Amino acid sequence: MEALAHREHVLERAVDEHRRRGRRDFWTLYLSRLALLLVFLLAWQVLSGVLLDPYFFSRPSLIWDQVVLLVQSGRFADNVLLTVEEAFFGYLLGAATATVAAAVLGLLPRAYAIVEPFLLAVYSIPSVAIGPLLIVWLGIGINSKVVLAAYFVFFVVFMNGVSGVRSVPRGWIDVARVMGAGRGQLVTKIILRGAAPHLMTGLRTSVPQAVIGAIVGEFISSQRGIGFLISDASARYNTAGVFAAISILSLLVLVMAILLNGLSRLGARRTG
Amino acid sequence: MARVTANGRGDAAPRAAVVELVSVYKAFVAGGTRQAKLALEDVSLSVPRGEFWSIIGPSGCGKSTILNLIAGLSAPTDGTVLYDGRVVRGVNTDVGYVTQDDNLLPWRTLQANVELALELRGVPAAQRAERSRELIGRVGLSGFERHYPAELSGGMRKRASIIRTLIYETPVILMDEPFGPLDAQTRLVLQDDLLRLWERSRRTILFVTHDLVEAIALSDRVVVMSAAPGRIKRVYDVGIPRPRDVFHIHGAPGFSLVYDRLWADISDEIAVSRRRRAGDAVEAPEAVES
Repeated sequence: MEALAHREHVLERAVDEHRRRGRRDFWTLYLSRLALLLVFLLAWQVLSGVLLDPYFFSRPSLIWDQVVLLVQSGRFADNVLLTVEEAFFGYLLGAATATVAAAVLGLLPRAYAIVEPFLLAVYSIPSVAIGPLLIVWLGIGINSKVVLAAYFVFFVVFMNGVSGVRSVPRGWIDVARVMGAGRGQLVTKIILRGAAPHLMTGLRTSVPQAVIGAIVGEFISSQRGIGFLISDASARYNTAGVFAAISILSLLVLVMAILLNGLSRLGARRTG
Repeated sequence: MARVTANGRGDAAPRAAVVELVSVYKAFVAGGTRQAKLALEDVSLSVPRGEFWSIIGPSGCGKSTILNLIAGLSAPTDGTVLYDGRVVRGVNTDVGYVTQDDNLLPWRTLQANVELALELRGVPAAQRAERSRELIGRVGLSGFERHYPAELSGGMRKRASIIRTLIYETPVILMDEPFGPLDAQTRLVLQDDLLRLWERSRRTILFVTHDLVEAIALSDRVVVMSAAPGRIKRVYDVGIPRPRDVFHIHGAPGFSLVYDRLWADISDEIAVSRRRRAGDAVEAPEAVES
């Protein structure tokens, strides 16, 4: 009886210790990050005017004023929402076409071998070259930005998807074939499912790409959006405005990354 | 069950072969080179329904190639592979195949892996669950149904890969070194499991192994193959009565006799393949007998 109670006690203590350590690690991580950010901003603020020319480098307090100004004038929500919209639809378009293309071409190695050089050729076109063309074709509005964002997303998802399809071990496919799996079953139950981890990597890492695509499009030609804010501010030599827009952009990508992490962790729990 | 004794000496009453290889040759062209290498040379085998056969031989002698041919995953370069009297063309879904790697699907739970074949065949979920639970219980994996392969030990994964092949009741089962990487104790337990499962249904099993004792303990007959290119050197009748006790197979009547004769053959082949690896080009001088 005594031994049993003692065992309970030892187990409880292990759980306790584990929980406490987990909590401590969590706080250390986030407090360190916050401290790093504060040190950086403080150094910038103090050095600006001493070592750095505030005309070129601005300073956090001025940037903050710009952000406040943007929010108060109502331009903040307007521009951010447009960029988010462009990136969102661009992402959907790029991710969907890339997933289908990766599945089809991953399953047909001969077809892939035929089109591979053409894909590489398209991939090698710099975005600054293809952007203006898209704007000529699709206009200055949202469509050209959506397609440019899709273009940025497509290759990341496609390349990961193809390598995912190819990474499915021969043995899994053979075992299913001997079990009597038909072509459709092989694709849906084994190959696409087996390619999922790679595909997920592509779908995750391409989210910032969608934002970058939208911004590049806005940069080339637009009247609204975060990219427009950046190019507009820099055209007026308003460095604080440029940094304000960049800060908003970084924050946007960060929020997206956090959301996406949560989503994929949820997915991972299901698939083990 | 028609058969009472495990195996009569010789073929007193020849029964219809369910798997038959007739002078099968298989050549591969190694990637990068343009030279073809012979993996199997003039292999003829005739496996009667309901028997447990093992194939042993030095590594690289084409044992797995034979299983792949019977499963229809590859085609012979020359010769014929027959299943139930018909030439095997394309994947042979009448056989179950326990591959060397367990090939469990990592995103499926143990139970979902075991039920895969039934699912592919459109068996309703309730029936699938009933069948899988029974088999999972029989190999002592109850309670692990919802575990993923990554959460199972090597022995558990092997058990899972065996019962997922047994579940859809093919007349023939091919097993490619299914217990290869396991520790000696787990191997024995699994051999015992396998024999018991087999004795209930007496399906035809072709079992590839490099473990002599395992081959003798499990099989009605043991096929000894020569070093590459693989040829059939001899087919032994084990003749140890069933049911067998794999844990004490060394003491079974007739064990040491079969063991000594098998070992003599195998050690010859190992010597040949070793000499060859050392660089001496030795043409295998032994007369081929089958």
